[in-house]
Amino acid sequence: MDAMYIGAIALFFALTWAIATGCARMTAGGK
Amino acid sequence: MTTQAMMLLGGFMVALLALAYPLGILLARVGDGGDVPGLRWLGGVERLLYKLAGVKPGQDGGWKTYAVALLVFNGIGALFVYAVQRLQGFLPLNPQSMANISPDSAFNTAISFVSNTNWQGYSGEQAMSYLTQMVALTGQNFFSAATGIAVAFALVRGFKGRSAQSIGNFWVDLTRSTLYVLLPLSLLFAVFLMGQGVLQNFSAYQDVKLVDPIAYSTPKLDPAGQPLKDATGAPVMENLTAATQTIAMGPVASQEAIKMIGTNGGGFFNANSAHPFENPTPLSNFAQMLAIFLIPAGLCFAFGRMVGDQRQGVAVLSAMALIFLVSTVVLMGAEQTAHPQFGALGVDQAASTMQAGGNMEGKETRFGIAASSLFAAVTTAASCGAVNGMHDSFTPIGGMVPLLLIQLGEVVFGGVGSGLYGMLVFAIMAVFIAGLMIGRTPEYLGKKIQSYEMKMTAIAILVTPVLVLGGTAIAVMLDVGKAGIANPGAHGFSEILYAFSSAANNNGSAFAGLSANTPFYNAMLGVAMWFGRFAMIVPILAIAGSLAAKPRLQANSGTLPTHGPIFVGLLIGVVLLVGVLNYVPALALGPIVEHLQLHLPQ
Repeated sequence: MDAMYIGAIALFFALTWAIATGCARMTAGGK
Repeated sequence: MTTQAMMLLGGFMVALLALAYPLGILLARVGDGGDVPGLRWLGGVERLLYKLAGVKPGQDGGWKTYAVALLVFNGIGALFVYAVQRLQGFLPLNPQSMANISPDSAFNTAISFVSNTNWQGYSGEQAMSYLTQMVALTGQNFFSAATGIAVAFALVRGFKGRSAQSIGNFWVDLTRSTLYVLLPLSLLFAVFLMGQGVLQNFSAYQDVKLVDPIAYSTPKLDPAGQPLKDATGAPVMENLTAATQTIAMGPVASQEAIKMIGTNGGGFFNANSAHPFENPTPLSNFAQMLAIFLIPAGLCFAFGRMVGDQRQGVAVLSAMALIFLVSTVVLMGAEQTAHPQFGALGVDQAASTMQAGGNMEGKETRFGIAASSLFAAVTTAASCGAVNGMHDSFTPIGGMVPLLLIQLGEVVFGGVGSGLYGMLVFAIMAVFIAGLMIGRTPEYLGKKIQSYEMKMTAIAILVTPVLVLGGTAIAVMLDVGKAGIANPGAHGFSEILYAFSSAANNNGSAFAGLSANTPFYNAMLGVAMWFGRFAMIVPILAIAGSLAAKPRLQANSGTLPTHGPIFVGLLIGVVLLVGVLNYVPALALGPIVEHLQLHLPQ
């Protein structure tokens, strides 16, 4: 169970990172 | 609304402004990076911390560097809070021998405290060791509040900067906010609270003999802890007599101070600020309300100073104050109103020297209707979430006001830092709408608001409604979601809507009545809390980075003044319009239906 919830926190972190990456790409000229 | 309520509200606003203005000067100094008057001696501590952590204070970065540091810091914080809870049974400072917290509850609480929400699915005095309360929960109270202030500083630097590539250094902002603002204020406030009677010790809980033993009836439980039922399905009851009462102890004042100042809201005790050891007197109650609004209001003054035009900060503060005042008057009026069904029975419900009148259900007699209503408005306008009464017991309209204040996005004073950056996002939206009306490129504080800023603004504003409405819809469709409802019907829907609104907007207060410490709600609300916080912060930092890189233009005849009453009105209109468009259909199914059920003939 611990692995599942620690994995969930890691997944949240990764998804937020992905959002940040998406926002950064828009800066680079995306529409 | 009674005279006492009006005097309380007026006194509160005067005291708030008197304290927030000087704090704004201090906050501006903290954000600008200079020496802080009166606290210069802490400069050595600050430099030592940088040296130990390997931070180079002069090394600022762009928004991506800032966001990465923020996410890494908070991600590690979540793992730390989770680990302490899961291991607390093996760790010291646990005189009651509290067991390790279950994985799903530890997960929910870790996300909750890292995101400054402080939603509490657990009962503090029955579940958490002193070490967990102090190191994990109180620690995150400081760090999550400092994170909010850091983001606000970064955004303000975006407006302030002139063709800059940097929005600051997250580690420096985090350190300075904690060292110069949160720690000194919390220390002073904790000492004040101890003077009022709030506990601060490491003693084991104490069993005291009751003056009069109490006989009571309670459901009999099976070995699994579930209520036993007879052949008809009714619970089997047993009669018991209590001759002693266990009085919880602990380091309460130190946690209580930052709980309020950091707009965290997570109580040491389950009853939160309704508990006499957490909020003992009317004076402590008044001071706790002030403490919630102090930094959010002070940051508005700091914003004006940092951008070089104090009128800008006053304009933002005015918009917040006007929405707050109107909401509080409605809330106080609703709670002071006579209950129609009691009225039909001829019950005297008028306020007098002998009784509070109105709706006293779920309220502390120490505080009464006015102070409970004001506390509810303050704690939900700010993203605090501490409570001194049960919002579930408010009248439908009285309960809808706190719910709507949360749903407006926690920008009416809002959380520490998050209130200001949330309101500035709405300000960007307001100048954009004004620009569309007059056909000019919108500007705010000399920065052109263009396509990229509006995309990020749209993401930041829409993240929470998606989480709230999507989460509520899933919960009311699934049996595991509906199982937690204590009051079926419109009120039960309000309980779920409130839970998701509170979680996604990082408020943390509960409507009560919803059994949310289940794997389903712990997981769902965990998702809402994390993304309600960080999926909003990321686009805001992106806006800061984009604005910082732009030149700051001089105002001309075509520039919309953003310091006057017209802009304040426009800003209020945008905040209300977005809130109404997002949430009125859902509110119609909850508190509005309940209000009609209460007042229309059956």
